[in-house]
Amino acid sequence: MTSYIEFQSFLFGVIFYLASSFIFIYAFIFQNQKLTKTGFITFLIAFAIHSVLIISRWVGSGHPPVMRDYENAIAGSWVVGLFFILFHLKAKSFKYAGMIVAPVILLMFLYCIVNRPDPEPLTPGYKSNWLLIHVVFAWLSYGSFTISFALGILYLIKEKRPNVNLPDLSTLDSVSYRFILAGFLACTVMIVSGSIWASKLWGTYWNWDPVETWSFICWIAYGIYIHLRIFFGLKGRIGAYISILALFTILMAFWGVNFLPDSLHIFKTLK
Amino acid sequence: MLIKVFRRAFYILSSSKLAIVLLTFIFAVVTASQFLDFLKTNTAVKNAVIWGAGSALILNILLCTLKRVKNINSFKTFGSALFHSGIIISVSGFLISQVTGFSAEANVLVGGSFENKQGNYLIIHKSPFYGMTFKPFLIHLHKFNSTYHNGYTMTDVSSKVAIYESNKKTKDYEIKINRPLKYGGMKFVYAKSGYAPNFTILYKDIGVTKRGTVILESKDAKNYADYFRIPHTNYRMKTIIYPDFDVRNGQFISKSYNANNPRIFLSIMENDKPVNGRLLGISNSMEYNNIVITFNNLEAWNRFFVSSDNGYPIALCGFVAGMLGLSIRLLKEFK
Repeated sequence: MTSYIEFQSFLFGVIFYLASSFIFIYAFIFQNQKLTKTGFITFLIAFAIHSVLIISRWVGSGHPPVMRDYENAIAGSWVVGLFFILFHLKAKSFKYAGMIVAPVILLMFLYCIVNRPDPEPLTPGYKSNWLLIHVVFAWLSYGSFTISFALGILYLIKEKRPNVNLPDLSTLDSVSYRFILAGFLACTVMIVSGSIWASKLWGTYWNWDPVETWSFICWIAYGIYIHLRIFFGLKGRIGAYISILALFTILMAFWGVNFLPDSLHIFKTLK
Repeated sequence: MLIKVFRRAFYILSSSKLAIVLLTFIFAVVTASQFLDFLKTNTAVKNAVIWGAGSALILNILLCTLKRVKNINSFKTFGSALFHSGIIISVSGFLISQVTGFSAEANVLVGGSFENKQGNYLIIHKSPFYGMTFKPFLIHLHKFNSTYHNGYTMTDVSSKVAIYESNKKTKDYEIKINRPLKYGGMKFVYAKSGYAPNFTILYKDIGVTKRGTVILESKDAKNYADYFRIPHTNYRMKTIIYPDFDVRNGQFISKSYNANNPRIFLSIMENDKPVNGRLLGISNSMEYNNIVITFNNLEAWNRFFVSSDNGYPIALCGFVAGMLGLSIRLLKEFK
């Protein structure tokens, strides 16, 4: 059974992320500087509740939240939130990224409403030292790519409406690129550590399983972007479009297993 | 003239434009294979395209890195060169595994043994060098344990084995999930477990008795069915196994996966039509057309995925080098 604290923190997490999303969007539309502070404070409260949710789940299941979609969604979105807070504290001019980051986290929470299983002990497949490396780097990678996605949207907004209070286009572009580079590094570690883990668990490094395939597609997509940028100086609008569209590959890698039942990444039962 | 052609080919094959074209091509094919039925069903086409483009890409990376080595003048270029060298080293490791190794399955009864011999494996993939480096040894599976959460979710698995070489025990090991046995250049990974019925078949006409255990395939872990042919006859036997037999709402079920109360339902099939069927407990028999089949007991078995993986250390070195290179590149970018 899901604990009372976990349920309450989940519920309040949804409410505060929803409030934060509205405040950020309202502040952006009406260019209200003061309201962004309120939005950020609401975001911080939501993040604190989110942390309580993760701790209560961890205590309830007896293991870090790494098993299946629900746990990965709450932990992965927590990393996205952490990135945003650190980023916001370092560069306040990016505060409007909250109007994209908060709804993204909210969407992950809403997805969890329909898919919130009771805590269970780790199945044998998960009992590996490679698990933590694989999952943590997956979160870091997806977190970085989500921030670059948010910056890509801000870039397009800034390009269309130069007067809005956002950093200049070149700053948005170069920061987004750096997040993509960091995400690419994390994605590489995730794929390779997953591959080594797979060799111990299933006996083969690569099975063309849907999750593996979509992670590979994601890696290739960002690899193409990096090469285009290094060798052909691709910047600006096309880069922003790529960082937005490439997020689709992550969504498929993350949620793909639900629509592709042949995946080996469902560790629920063992043969 | 030849040098000119060679230079031109080197220039094209090592160009970054070709790298982007190949990356985009692989991206398109792999993505399409997730949606298009043509590529889903024709895996040979998909594999040929991916392996072809992948090989061209590796060649491109190799030549491009060789070109780059000449021009390393900063940490940034060094990082890139190291990352791409790491990819090449890792791929070389995987190739060594593919060319010199094999992958197969081995079924072992609990309490039984498995001899490391070419003919004993159910081969999945084998290289031309398969069997050349086989070390003669025998694996004895002493004990198998599995535990469940709420009766359904497996929480632990352990297969206790001993290795013998020339009748002398050389190693005791506990194979678990994520903890394969590595011995004699091979890796034994736990893949599956189940129960196999042991039968005695008496052919009354000729007065011959045969005894044996039949490992059946299972999809549902708790009660499962499969067919096998009765030796020396045209009959097939459909066997449904209930390790922990119970009747609920008039239906036969198995309460758990543990063999607490084993039963099997046997149907004898002639031309794919059932001609006789009965539920049998331990030591029960059924007779059809002068053939007497006795169910002796259920025996637990394990299936191991076996592979030889000689290129692993090289692939790992490549990964470490690649990560180091990418990190250096990234650090310089952030500066």
